Amino acid sequence: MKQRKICMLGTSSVGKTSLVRRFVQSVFSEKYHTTLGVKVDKKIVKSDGDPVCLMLWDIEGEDRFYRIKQNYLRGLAGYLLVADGTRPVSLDAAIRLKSNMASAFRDTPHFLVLNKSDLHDQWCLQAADIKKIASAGFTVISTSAKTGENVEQVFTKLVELIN
Amino acid sequence: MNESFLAGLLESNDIVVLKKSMRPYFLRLTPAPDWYFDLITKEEGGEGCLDIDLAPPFLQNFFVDALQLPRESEGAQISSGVWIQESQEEGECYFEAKSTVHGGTLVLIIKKLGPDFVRRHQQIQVARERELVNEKLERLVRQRTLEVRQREEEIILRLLAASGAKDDETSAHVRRIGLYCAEVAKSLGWSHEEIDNIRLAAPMHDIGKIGIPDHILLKPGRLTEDEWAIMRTHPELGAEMLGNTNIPVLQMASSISLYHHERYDGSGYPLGIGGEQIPLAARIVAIADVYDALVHERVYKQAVPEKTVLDMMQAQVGKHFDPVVFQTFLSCIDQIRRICSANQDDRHNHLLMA
Ligand SMILES: Nc1nc2c(ncn2[C@@H]2O[C@H](COP(=O)(O)OP(=O)(O)OP(=O)(O)O)[C@@H](O)[C@H]2O)c(=O)[nH]1
Ligand SMILES: [Fe+2]
Ligand SMILES: [Fe+2]
Ligand SMILES: [Mg+2]
Repeated sequence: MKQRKICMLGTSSVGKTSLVRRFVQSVFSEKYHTTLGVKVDKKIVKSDGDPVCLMLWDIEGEDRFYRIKQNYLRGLAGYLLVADGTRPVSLDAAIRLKSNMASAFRDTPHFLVLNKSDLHDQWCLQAADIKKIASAGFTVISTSAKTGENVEQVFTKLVELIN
Repeated sequence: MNESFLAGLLESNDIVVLKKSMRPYFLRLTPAPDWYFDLITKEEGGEGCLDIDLAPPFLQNFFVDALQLPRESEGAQISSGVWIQESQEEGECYFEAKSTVHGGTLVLIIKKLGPDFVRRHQQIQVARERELVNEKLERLVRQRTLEVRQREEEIILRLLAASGAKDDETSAHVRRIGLYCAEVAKSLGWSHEEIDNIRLAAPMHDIGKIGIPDHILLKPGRLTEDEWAIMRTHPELGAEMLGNTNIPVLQMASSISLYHHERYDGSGYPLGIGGEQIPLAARIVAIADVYDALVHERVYKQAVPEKTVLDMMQAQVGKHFDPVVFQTFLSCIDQIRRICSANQDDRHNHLLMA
């Protein structure tokens, strides 16, 4: 079976682990349990009728306590840059992460995932943020690990781009 | 392999040591604790054999780095970083692998992380949660500050509109001046705070005019010498009204009022100072004010085409206007035009003019 490696990137507490848990196990927890290091989950999906085994690398959020090791990105087929719509700083972090990606990954399929869409009334992205997103050249998908909105879709779309 | 090196490791139940063997295998040198079989499921190539290609994906990825360690680099060590593995009994377990060269052999050490790590996790958990709270507070403060600012701005503009209702200064005009000046200040690299200040302060440049008697201020024909002399006191009147404060925006407004009719060559009033002696904020306002007055129609004059306005102003560079500031003004002329068309006379103004 084909295997494809997908990385979850973003700053801490944006919902990387929650998205993977929603996608793989269909569960969600309100409690924040920060990831230290890396957790790899597998999920088999169908793409063009053929099964593909996704290796989902959930990597600790990059912030003042942690720098992502570039070695973890080896063999990457696609990645999701996750940001939290209620935290503009998480968007800046996602943009920074993208621009720090090694040149080898410049054309690797990826999306900007604006998570926590269930908290839409608390989102505080300004016009300037929207501009930043556009000029960073992102394709944006908003999701909610809590309600499940667009979670399946974001992974499926990424797999479509990869194959 | 050095026996005592191994013996030291053997005692521990949270470590497994392996050495590189024929590809694709590593050979286990220490007993296998239960947790080891959660990691690698089974030893396909016979007892003690770890098949690289069957290892957990994280470890496989680390092997690539480990296998690149040169055999000559005795003692060199690299670490995989922490990874998490789900176990049937214990739930999430944390591991870390290290690779080193010992006696010319590549050695792999897999360690299950214990209580020390749990404590570290707890610390980082708390630190991250605290960071989230701080971030939220900062966001709230910033938003409140913005709201207060907007309220200030609205109050200033409404009072200005009321005070200017008699003469020709419309509320749209003073708002535009503020926005033009903010744009120029931004191009000049001013801080956020100073940009906010000039946006609010610039509209007050003519506030001293409320101290000028109506028969002069509203006189339809030419002013006499004496009337002009009174008219020319408006910068000082305004500066006095706004001065004597330690609120930065009012300090700036007071200074702008005092100096907005000074000219770069020293031929202005009330003090007749020139060049850099005129505060920068006032040099910016002088340009913004003239531009806006000329491109708009007034009771006593027609609007002048913008190109003509800019030519006329260009001719005044070094005389009336600061060359650098005028250049900066030109460099943001597109934004200035956008501000201009987006801020034409509003309903609010018509009400006050009625
Ligand atoms: N309302 C809401 N909360 C969410 C959503 N996704 C995640 N959360 C919450 O946000 C917090 C952080 O989620 P995690 O999935 O642990 O975030 P992470 O990106 O893995 O964080 P690190 O592992 O620290 O890098 C948790 O309290 C989750 O319950 C969502 O879509 N909606
Ligand atoms: Fe004036
Ligand atoms: Fe004016
Ligand atoms: Mg996580």
